[in-house]
Amino acid sequence: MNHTINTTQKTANATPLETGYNFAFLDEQTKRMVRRATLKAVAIPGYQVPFASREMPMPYGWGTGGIQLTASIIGQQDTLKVTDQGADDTTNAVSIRSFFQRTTGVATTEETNKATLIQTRHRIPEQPLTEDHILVYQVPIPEPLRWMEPRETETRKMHAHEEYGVMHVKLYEDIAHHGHIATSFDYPVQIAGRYIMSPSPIPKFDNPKMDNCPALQIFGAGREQRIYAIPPYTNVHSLDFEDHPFSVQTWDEVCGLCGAEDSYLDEIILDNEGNRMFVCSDSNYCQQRLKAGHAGAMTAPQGQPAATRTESNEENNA
Amino acid sequence: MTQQILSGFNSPVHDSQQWYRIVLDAMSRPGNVCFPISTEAFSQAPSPCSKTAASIALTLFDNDTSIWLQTSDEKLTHWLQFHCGCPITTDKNAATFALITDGNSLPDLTQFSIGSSEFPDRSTTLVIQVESVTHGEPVEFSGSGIATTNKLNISGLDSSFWETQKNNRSLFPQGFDTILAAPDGVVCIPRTTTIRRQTPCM
Ligand SMILES: [Zn+2]
Repeated sequence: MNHTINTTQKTANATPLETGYNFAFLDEQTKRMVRRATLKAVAIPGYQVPFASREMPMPYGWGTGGIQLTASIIGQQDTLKVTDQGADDTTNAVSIRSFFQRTTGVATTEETNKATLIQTRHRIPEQPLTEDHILVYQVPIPEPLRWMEPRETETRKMHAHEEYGVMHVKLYEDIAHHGHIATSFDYPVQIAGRYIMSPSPIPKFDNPKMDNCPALQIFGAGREQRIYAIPPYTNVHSLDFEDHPFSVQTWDEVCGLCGAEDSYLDEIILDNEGNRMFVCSDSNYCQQRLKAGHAGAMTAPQGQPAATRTESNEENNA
Repeated sequence: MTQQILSGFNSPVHDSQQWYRIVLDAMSRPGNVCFPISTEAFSQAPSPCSKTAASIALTLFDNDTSIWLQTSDEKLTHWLQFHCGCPITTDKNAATFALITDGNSLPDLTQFSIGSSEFPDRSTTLVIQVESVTHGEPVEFSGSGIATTNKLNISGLDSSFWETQKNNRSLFPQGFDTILAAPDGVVCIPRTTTIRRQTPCM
């Protein structure tokens, strides 16, 4: 493996290593336990492997499952990216990144294509992942059947016997009420034609990125003590019906900054008059596009429409 | 009489991390031959283990894992107990890992645990020492983790393994997972892998 460590080394050296802790905070016995569970998760795609989650120096809801996964995987050669809802500068992302800087000293980056290990909450990066990435998801509720069946003993049986009727009933009730499947986050998927799995609260826009992905994807739920995985190049099917096929969110707008028409957009209110703009939720993707010379309506020179804007309109009309 | 026990990893934290990533990568991409940049993690492997098999043991075994050993070699048993603290079991069905040091003479693999339908993870992981994962009988892998198919060559693995894995595959989600450990690399065969033997030209 030869990764671009040198270019990102500066960030790593900026933070002094905290002494008195093991590398990546977790003790070796805990790492081995998490590692063994992770290998089982990879071998049984989509199946939730129980593990003995440890107390972490941050509260549940702060991604303690993902943090334990990252801590058991990370090594000195890694370049770590931590992202939260598409941005690397939220409190959650900053504190997790700083935690690993202080306990491992590894290089960090905000650039998806420079990272070897990415811990994420609520999004999959727009930049397509490669075989050189491992994507670690923070998961609050790993059991996709929990809303229909609160008893763990029962959901376990349902998974064992592949009794997934209730999940389809739930989605169909959506259609009955709303005329379409209203679930737009944490949209359930079936892995390799077998286990139904929660993809964590990512927008369903991101679901197709999980399918046949070259990267290993691992999911960690700290409070619920579960690890599960999607191996690379594995079929990930978003549940749907013949007369109501799965579809992702779409926008009439493009990104106001970079003109991207293929990315998940966040709406931003600009003033009290109701003016608003749409921008890429994945801020690194947006910055990379701006660097590459793309421009949106808000960044294009006055009186001159952004080139990408025209293109995208044509495509939308086609 | 005191017995000299060979050392373990030079740098336990980083060496085990590096070897774990090798195994994780191999388990994620069945048929890929994975190997660390440096195998100088320790000076001498305990016979009859290669450095590869010994490194995998140091990485994954501990006092929470029962180990079934093919060999009754006392030195290896002591080495494992000293460095990993792992209990040794003679009950195949109770083993977390099986350390099979001679891939040419396999025990009855169907006696190892395949987990239950509700807990398919409670299965045995086989660590099988083979002579090579770069030379030998050509085989083709397909399944989760593999884009289309993965071709590789293996020697030092009894041919009964292929039939056993075929049955093992059909038990999914139950089944055992296999780590092949050779001096020239690590190859994993999770329960999801379908293997086709490349029969030479008729
Ligand atoms: Zn943008």
